[in-house]
Order: sequence, then C-alpha cells, then structure tokens
Amino acid sequence: MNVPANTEGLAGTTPEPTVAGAIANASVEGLLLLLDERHPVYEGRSENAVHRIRGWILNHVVVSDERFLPFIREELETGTHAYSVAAAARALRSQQVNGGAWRPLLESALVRVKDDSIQFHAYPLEVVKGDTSAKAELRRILEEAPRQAGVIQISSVRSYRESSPILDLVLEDQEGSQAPFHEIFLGRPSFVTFFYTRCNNPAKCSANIMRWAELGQRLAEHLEEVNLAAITYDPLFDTPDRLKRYAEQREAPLGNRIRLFRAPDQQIDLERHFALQVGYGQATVNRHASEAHVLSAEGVIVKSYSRVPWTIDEVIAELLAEQ
Amino acid sequence: MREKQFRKKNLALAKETQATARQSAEEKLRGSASKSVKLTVRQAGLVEKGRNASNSREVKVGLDALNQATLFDDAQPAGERIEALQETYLSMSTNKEFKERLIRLIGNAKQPLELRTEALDCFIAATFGSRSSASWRPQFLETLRSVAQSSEDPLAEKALEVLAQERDPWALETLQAGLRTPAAAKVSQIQAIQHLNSVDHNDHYDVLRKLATKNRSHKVRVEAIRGLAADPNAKDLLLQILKGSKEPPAVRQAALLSLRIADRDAYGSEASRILNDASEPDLLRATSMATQRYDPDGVGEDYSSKVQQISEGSDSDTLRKAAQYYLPKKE
Repeated sequence: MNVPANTEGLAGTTPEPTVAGAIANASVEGLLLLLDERHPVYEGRSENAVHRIRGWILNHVVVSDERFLPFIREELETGTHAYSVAAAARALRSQQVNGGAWRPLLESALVRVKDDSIQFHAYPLEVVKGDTSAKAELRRILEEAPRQAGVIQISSVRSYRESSPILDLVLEDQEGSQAPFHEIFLGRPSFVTFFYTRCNNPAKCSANIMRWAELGQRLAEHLEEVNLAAITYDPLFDTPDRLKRYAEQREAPLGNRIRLFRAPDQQIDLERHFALQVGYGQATVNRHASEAHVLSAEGVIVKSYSRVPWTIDEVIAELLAEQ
Repeated sequence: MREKQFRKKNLALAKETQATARQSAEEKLRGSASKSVKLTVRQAGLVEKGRNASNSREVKVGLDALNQATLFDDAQPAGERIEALQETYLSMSTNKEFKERLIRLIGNAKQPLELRTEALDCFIAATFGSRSSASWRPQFLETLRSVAQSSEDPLAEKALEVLAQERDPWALETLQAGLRTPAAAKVSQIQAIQHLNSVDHNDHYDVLRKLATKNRSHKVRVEAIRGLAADPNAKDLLLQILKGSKEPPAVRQAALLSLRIADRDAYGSEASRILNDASEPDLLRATSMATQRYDPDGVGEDYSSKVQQISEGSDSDTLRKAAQYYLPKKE
C-alpha cells in the first residue's frame, strides 16, 4: 500500500489521538487510503474504535471528490453507528451532488441509526458533551436537499476482464465437502458474495444473504447453468454447521450450485484474489465493505460490486450474458 | 363447554380486578385532597374530574395526573414518589415529555438515590424495544454517561452497567480499562467481563486470556474462559486449561463448554476422551455427557453404549443418575 507521508506508519497499535492528528492533517489521497478497511491502522482494533476513526476521517472530508462518494453512500445505506453516520451526512454536504437523489438514503439512515449525542470539534475518545446528534445532522441535510428525485451517480461497479490466474485454494462448503476453487467455479458463470455470520449489522450481511437466497430462488430453473457462492470472512468461527444454519434461516435453496463456503487454510489468498475490503479485530471482523463479484465460466472476475447494493435483476442479466 | 365456562370466569375476574382498581384509584384521588402535592392548573383539573368521574377512564387520567405531580414534587416523601412512579410509568410510556423529565430526575444527584434507581429501572422497562430509535436516546445516554463519570454519584455504577447493556462504546471501554488496570475498575471483574462478553467485536480478548490463566478467583477465570468461546484463536489455551488435571473442575468445565463453540472438532475428541476416562472428575464427565447428548449432529453408537455402561456400573451415584438422565431413549 503506497501511503502518503502524513499517514505513514499508522498501525493498529498507534494510539488513537495520534491517528486523529494524522487524519486532521491528511491529504485527500491520505484520507481515501485510510478509508480502506485493509489499512493497517484498523488491525486488531474493536469495532467501536474503527467507527470512531472512520467517522473522524469523514468529518475531515471537506473537498468535493467523487472518490469519497462510495464510502459516504455505504455509510448512509447500511450504517447504524451514530458518529459515523452523522459524519457521512456532514461529508455529503461538501460534495457536489444532486441532493434530491440522496434523499431516500438519508431518510433510511434517519430510521436506522441508533441516535446519540455527538460532537465534531474534538476526536471522540473521551466523553465530551455533545452539541448535535446523528438524527439532527441527517435532518439538517434533508432540509437542504431538493425534493425532486434523481439518480445517485457513483461508479462503484467495476467491469473488467483480466487474465488473472485462477485461484489455487481449497474451499469447504456448508456440508463439510472440500473442493479446489477451479472445480467449483470453472465451466459456468458464477456470482460470489461475501459475509460472516457474526455480522451485527442486519442491513449488511444478513440482508445480503437474504437477497442472495432470493436470487437462488429466482434462478431455480437455471441452477445447473450457474454457480451461486457466498464465502465467509471469518473461516475459523464460521464452521460448516454454522454456515448451513445461517443459510437455512434465510431460506437459501442450498444445493450443488448454491452453496456457502469458507477457506479453511488460505483466507489470505482469498482476500488477495478478490481484493476483499475487510479488517479484523482480535476475534473477528471489525469492518467490511459490501462486495460481490460476477465470474465468467473461466473463473475470471468480470464485474465487481463494491460498496453498492447489487440487484437480483442485474445479476441475473450478467450471469445469463456470461453463458 | 369447558372453554366457555373458563372464558366466562376469566371475564368476571377481569371485571372484578378493574372494579377493585377503580375503587382504589378513587380512594387515592379523594385522599389527595388533604395532601399538599404541587399540581399544575391542568393537573388539578384532571384530578378534580377524576374524583367526580362517571367512567373509569376519567378516574385513570386523574390518577395519572396526581401520580405524575407526586413523582416530580421534591417536597413529597421518597416512598410516596416511588409508589407514584410505579403506578404511572407504564401508562406514561408513550409520553415524550414525561420521559424527558424522568431522564432529568435520573441524572439529578440531589434527588433521593432510591427514587433515581427505581426511575432508571422503570424507564428501562417502559422503553424496552424502543430505545434504539427513540428521539430521547441522545439525552438518555448523555445523562447516564454524566452520572457514570461522577466518582461521587452513588448511581454511577448502575448507570455504567445500563450503558454497557446499551453497548455504549465509552462504557465498554471503561469496563475494559478496569480489567487492564484494576485500580481504575468501576465494577467487579466478573460484571465487567460479562458485559464485554456480550459483544464479539470488542478487543478485550487479550485481557481475557490473562485472566483465564492467571487469577486467584476461580469465578473470574470461569467468566474469562466463557468469553474466549467467541475467539477461535483461543483453542490452544482452552485445550491447555481443559487438559490441566490440577485445574479446578469448574474451570475445566468452562473450558470444555467454550471449546465446543470455539472449535467443534477439538471439543469433539476431548468430550469423547473425558467420557471414557474414569479418572476424570464427575462434573466434567457429566458435562461431556450432556453436551454430546444434545449435539445437533446427533449421538453415535459409542456414546450410547458408554453412557449405558456408566448408568449401570459407575461407583458414583451422581454420575449414574446423570447417565440415566442423558441416556438416549430407545424408540
């Protein structure tokens, strides 16, 4: 990772006040790199610490740059933590966007967020009396946003074809059956998404797998022609029986072509191959992006959904086009 | 026919209860005329209407007004204010202004401690299910933090615990700091660990490992070991504790139960070994029996035959009874 000077050396053991100081002096490039869940600054930290750091980063987004939009959008779309959601709302105000298009996201955040008293003039490590709240910040920007509808213009859906080497690793499914990557994915187009069973944000992993399950139901007649896979970020904890229970609770029509997986031994290779945007605390994931990929019948990534929700119709169209 | 009679009896009982409640409310309203509760003009009107009410609803509204006034009247004895609170808090649970006043009362160190404590308990009960999205949530959390931070406020410890139950970051990190530096602890180690263990995404696992291996209190060790169930990386430590023959049985039991969650395969082989080893303590063998009996994957032939053997031939009365209880029933 090419780290700009003023954020160089930040690690999971760097005291938070030091991290906060670096963020306050960071360039746009520095802030963008720090928003990546893989940045060493998040390693080993608790989820609460990660929210604080990310909220502080968003609080320092004062320049309009479309590269911030996917992060802002994701926070407003799925965030529940008062500080980071409020910071995302504040960051949005500095961006040159069609406010009306963002209204639905802001309104859903208003319902979802667990409100709290907050302030943005000092890094929130110690308790300082708040002068605003998450809902107050969201309402403020809603008042400013025009009422006419629009479409959010963000390009987080990457389409590319590269002749990347096929991943050489073994995956284990919810029945405990193991198979190499190429055996699972070669020969038919695939849709792969990522999750973990201990995700405590119902708007993220649980909703994602429910949508994935519905995709499976919609593709019932085509399931011999495609693969649907959901792979866990947390392979040590997400054992086959846990994967199975998780999927069944979400009514996934599990079968030969629709399975949940873990990489029992090569999680790092998996993360590298799919460029997974995930960070880890002491025992489990501390933060991850919403991400999913379409693979060709040759097992090559042809489309990636990063920090945007994928729709069932869109994915079905992509899979059928790859056949 | 029986159901009809039951319903009739039930209805009669409900009517009787309502009548008793109304009578009691009317008596209280009439009795309040001789008391010096500070009433607003509106409250006085409602109380008077309740005294001369023609229906139960007016009686109830009048009683609520009286109870609210009593609750927030500093001149009234604490006991009467608590009684008023207990009678009124549920019916006021949708009243935003009432909740905001109650929060201020909770945060006011000059109010009687027993009243503030009861107010906090009633507030939590009345707002169950609505706390995460409520408009008063920022005020509630800020008030509790202010109370919890005060070294002189006797409600501080309870406020900290409520915040921890709300997964407040500051509260969880304060508890963690107390585990790392006992001199800074605001609650007992066991309470702190229990709160922290309720969230997998904390970063207290390093301190749990230390407490699991090095603490004079077996109870603290057991709580720390319970928390390690969420950390698959703790497998080796849990195995070490479980296999430690000099470890107290309760501590080894906790390690077995946590291993079952942290690493099923490691647990499986240990559970079988323990069941088959007559030199292992009864507590451990009985726990092994229980956890295997209710395994989602079902029990094997080995388990059934071993438990049968124990139920018939063990020298330990406790173990024989446990085996008879956990023996799979033949269908």
